[in-house]
Amino acid sequence: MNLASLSGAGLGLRRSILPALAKADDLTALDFLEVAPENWVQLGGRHRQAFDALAERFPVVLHGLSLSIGGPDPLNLDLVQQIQSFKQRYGCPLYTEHNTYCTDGGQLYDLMPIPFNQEMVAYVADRVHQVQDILGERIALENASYYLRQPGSDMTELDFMSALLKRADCYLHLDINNVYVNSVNHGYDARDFIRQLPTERIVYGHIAGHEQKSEQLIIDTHGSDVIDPVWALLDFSYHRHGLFPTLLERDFDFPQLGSLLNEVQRIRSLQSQHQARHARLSHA
Amino acid sequence: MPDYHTHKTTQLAFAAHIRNPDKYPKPQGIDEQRMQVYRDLFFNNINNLIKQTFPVLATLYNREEWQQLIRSFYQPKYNKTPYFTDIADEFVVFLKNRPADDKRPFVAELADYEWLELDLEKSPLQPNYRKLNKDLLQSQSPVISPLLYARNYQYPVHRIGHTFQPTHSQPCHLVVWRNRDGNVHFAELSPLSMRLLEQLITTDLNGTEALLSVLADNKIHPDNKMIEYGRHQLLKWYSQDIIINTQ
Repeated sequence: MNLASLSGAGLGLRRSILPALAKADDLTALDFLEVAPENWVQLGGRHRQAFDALAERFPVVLHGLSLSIGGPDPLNLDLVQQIQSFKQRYGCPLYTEHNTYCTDGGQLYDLMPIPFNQEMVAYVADRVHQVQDILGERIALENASYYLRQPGSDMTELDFMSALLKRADCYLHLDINNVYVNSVNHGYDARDFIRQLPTERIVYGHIAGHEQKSEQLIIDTHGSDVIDPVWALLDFSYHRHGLFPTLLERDFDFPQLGSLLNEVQRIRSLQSQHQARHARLSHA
Repeated sequence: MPDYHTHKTTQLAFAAHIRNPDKYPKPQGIDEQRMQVYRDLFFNNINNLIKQTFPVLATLYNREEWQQLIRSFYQPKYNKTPYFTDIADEFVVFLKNRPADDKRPFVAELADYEWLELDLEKSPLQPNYRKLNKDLLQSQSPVISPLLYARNYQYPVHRIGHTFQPTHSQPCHLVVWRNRDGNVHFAELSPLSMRLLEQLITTDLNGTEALLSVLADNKIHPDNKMIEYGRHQLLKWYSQDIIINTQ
């Protein structure tokens, strides 16, 4: 499947929800699934069979964790090749990564923020180009959640992302929850941030729950339901930039599948409202 | 203006502090409270990944000892794989190369045993299970499933738990395998059955020859009882998907 035909609402596929998904008789709320390739590329056995069955029914987006696009190590080209063959085998419409780093000569298995400055724009853009050359198509970078500004930062996150997308000539994977989380953690206006993003680069979105630790600190856990202000931001983003395929991320404290599908359904409803509105406007 | 090299040094220092805050200080200019968020998130993440894969091992340590063990593993030299499914492999290698733990001399074997289940479950191999005429088990060479590990452990790792932690060697022979439905099973074998299984894995002897050679090695007379034992064992392994074919 190509990126242009990806639309609607999706759900992040974790091994723990495989049995429920395999058994479910109504998955009409789902338009697509997403996996972290680093959890599946090397996996065989029953889980892989269950994955294969689902991949027959749904497009699968790849959302990477280990590439370390902003990291100090040389790019792991073997990983890129593995992702490429997985992507080809399953016809995945998109590969996205986080605008972060996760390596220091080894893997830390979690995401660290990079400094926001012109040198890093150039450095990351160059690495994105390398990956895109191998894949033969654009990747998307996600605006990741971060809890501190790295020393050496002299740009805002917004300016950094905008400059990077342009220089790397890649897509933006807009994580709405991360905008909310970062706006609280770093005291900026979430709508202002979203409003100024380059519309033409946005191809994909995420929405998720988080944990508010204090008035100024939110942890991006993906472990609870999406809160209303984040839904409102998604609504605002569709309004400002038009529709983009949007995925519900849930990584632990899983509720019943039905409850996850209700949240996915809510993404669809929001998309329908915007479609209807758009149709009315064009008609007028 | 700093070049990327300056940033590289800072990035490495930031990561080093997360991995090992007692040894490497927090880089300058970073808020302590926010740094704590990273220290906690990252440690909890790797800790949970290991705990989920080694549930028995994790119960044998007190909180402080376990945290120390995870910290020792959470180092760039041990954490090379970008694949989350392979982190357990690296943890097992790490434990095997550690100096012996006198209190728990069995840890490397226990971790290996817990890892086998995971490794078989995730293996991409999909062997063909052939329906066999049972006489062929004796007259031809039985093919053992590639989804199988035969292990001779110094400790009965399958019985180890919070209340049973042997400090003296008690050899035990375990076979762990995945059947055609994708389920992983284990069985404890007698020393003789283990020898027979190993003979089938490593040679092309037919079922009868393999049994006779193992009996001869062990100076056991091949009487009717022993021949019957061998026949029964091969049939059982065939029914369990341990033997998947003959050739």
